[in-house]
Amino acid sequence: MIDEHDVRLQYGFECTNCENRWYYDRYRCPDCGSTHFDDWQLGHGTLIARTTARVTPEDVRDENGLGLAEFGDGVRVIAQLSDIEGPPAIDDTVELAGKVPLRDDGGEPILGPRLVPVDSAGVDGGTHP
Amino acid sequence: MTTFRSEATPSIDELMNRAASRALGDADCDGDAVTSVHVGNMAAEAFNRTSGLANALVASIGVHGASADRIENTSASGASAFLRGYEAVASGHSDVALVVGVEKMSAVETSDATEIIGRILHEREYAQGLTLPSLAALAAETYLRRYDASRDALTAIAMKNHANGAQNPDAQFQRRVSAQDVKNSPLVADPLRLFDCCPMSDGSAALVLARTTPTEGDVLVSSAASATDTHAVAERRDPIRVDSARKAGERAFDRGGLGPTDVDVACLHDAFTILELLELEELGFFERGTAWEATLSGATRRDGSLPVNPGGGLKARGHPLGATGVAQLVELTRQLTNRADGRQVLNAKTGLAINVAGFGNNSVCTILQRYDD
Repeated sequence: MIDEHDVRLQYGFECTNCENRWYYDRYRCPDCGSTHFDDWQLGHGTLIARTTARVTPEDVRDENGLGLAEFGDGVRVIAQLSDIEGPPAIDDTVELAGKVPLRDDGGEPILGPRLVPVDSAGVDGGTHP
Repeated sequence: MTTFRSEATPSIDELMNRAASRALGDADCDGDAVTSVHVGNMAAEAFNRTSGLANALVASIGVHGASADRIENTSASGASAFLRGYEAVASGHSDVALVVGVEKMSAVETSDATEIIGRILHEREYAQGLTLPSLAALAAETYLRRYDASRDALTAIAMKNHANGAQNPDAQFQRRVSAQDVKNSPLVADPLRLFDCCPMSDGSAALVLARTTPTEGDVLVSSAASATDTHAVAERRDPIRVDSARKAGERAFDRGGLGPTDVDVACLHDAFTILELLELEELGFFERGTAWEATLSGATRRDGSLPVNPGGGLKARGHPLGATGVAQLVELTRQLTNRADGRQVLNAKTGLAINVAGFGNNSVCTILQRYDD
């Protein structure tokens, strides 16, 4: 059973009616309108765009590597890039893994996964805010 | 409109009052003639701890008994307010509509403003620390790589729009910038630098719309249309597509019986230099992957085949969120009536504006035409 918001971020959704898949929370299936979904493991994806933000919100790490990755069935996710052993490069195989503070203002941090090269999966995603 | 500033002294109410009063004066229109008021504003509650903008405005400028409300569509609030005013007049529900856009962003610290703007993102994208500049950077990186395009095209946009802003007394930045200025400015998100990004701004702009029998030189609303795209930017079919702008443009062209070749001057939403390239392609002005070459060739300069952002754009005129869409239309009106002193596009009869909410979440396209008997 997956019910923690920060863990939930590692999963996408699959419509139980039409099997359409997506990652970002929505109330109704964009194809059939169903409100019944299952969790769906993203698995491996490919990094298709990346940047490093040098001006970041105060509760985000100073240099925030970000990437757009494409997973199966056209599902795409933008997430922080892991910086352990160097961040992934364009066309690298990645997965959304780990549970690190993505935003931390000294209060209750927002925890979640980063895009990690597949051969590095299992590490915690690297530098924290 | 008011001059756009990084830190304007007047309150948000005063900015609105000034812009509205000037528009009524320009239109030689009494407050009592106004039958509807449409105020575009994104976040007065967050920036200024106030609300009820439309009600405060009508009471202050002598508009009595009109229909009045506020329209919020993030950074396209201004164009959305204009769209509602246009629909009210075109439908016959209003005879004279006053459209006002306003934002005063400097009332909070920059970090707080960044947070306010960041909250328009999808919750999961916000959680990752995404910002609008970082989304623009992902698009820019993809565009340059896919089309083997030169970074100089982005620099050329910043230089062009600043050169135009230097001729606009209402612009926040009335000075030219060199290629070295752009290239030496700090990286915000690779490959975008500070001079690829619009500033935070204070300001207001206003227009009066009326049902009337046009006479020579009047400016007519040919059409206006809007369209949405996904909330989460990652869900777009391509990081360099802005489908909301394409759809809004197609609808506006279709409703006006016009096409891209009919446009003499355009005000695009250059919140980031890359957006000017993407919008040029989405609106059909240039084939995909070619707007960067057209830009480098000078096609979008004031003396080019399609002058773009002659008033300086968001880049140099400034970007007070809720005011920008109306300011674009003020600029087009000046261009179409030969009142754009020092930056006039010659023989401009048809102008197009695209105002984009969020990072392409919702776009509003408006086409204005000068009436020639």
